[in-house]
Amino acid sequence: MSDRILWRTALALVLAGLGVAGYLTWTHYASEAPICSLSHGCEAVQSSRYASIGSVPVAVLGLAGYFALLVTLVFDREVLRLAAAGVALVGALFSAWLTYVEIARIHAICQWCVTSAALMLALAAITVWRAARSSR
Amino acid sequence: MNPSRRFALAGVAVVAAAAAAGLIALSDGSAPAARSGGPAAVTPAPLLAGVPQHGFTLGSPKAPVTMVDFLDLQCPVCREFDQAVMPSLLPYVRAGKLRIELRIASILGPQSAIAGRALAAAALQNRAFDYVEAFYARQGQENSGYVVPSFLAGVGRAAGADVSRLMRDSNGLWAAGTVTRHMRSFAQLGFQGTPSFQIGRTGATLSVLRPSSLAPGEFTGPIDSLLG
Repeated sequence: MSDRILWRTALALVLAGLGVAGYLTWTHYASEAPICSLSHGCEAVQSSRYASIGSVPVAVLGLAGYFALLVTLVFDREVLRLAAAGVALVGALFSAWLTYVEIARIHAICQWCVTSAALMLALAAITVWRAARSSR
Repeated sequence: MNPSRRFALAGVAVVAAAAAAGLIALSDGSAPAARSGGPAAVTPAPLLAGVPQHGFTLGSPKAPVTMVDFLDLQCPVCREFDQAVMPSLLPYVRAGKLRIELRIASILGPQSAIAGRALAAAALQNRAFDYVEAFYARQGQENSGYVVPSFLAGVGRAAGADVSRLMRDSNGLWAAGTVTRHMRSFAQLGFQGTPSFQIGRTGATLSVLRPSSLAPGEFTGPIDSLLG
């Protein structure tokens, strides 16, 4: 697969992630329940104690992560490919933890959060792949 | 992949794993109840189903015995009382023998005051006890910053309250004044911690109840005595 296709795919995933994280950030500060097809799942997760770290909403962390990935893609340099891999790996691992929390502790699924976790996992795979290929 | 690139990627992976572990520790650290295996229910149990509540009162106003519970929503022992003792008190309430009144004692800090005002606003909708149940189901570490508007709104939704009204009322003068009045009563009774209790025959002067533990018998015993 060409690097151009990988770059475009990553950009599409990042833009989707910005949309999801942006929406969740908006619902957080607007005190609105996220639109959710699973009965009250998003609301339960968003209002749980895991929805924030201290006073920082997890959705804001996600937004920051996607924005950082966007910057690395736009400026696409060698060192930024490594940084992108790092950011995406942190995001994927933390998203995996949050998905575990949803299933095992909150007993509710937020489809937006799961979508973001899937996006971040795919981004981790692509960014690591691009970082590994870049010096070939 | 050349060796230097492989080394750099391995380094990135290690740093990323460490950063993720830090985030997870922070996330988990703000949730001690879950870490200790406590219940992480997201919707209040149907504990209060069918029990009449009005303002800060649960049960019939004509019940012969009244118990007052001074609480701070951030207080883990208050939550423990709710889980360990309330199920044993509800049969008395359902039978019309006991009424329970809530008083807000926001003693743990500014976030307790914010939570207290939200509770007062829930009382305006006759949802105070539902709000307490829903809050305790989500309670985090004291003053860790989790008591934010979206959290309070989520608790309100779970409690079945009109959330817009609740958020508006919680910022109003009535809620602030109510918390102040309850706190004054708390101080006048010489209480210094939460939960604190009063009990007595309804309409008579209530006595301070000082349970030695949160065993249900520490509460049902005095109630039985008052019921004769």
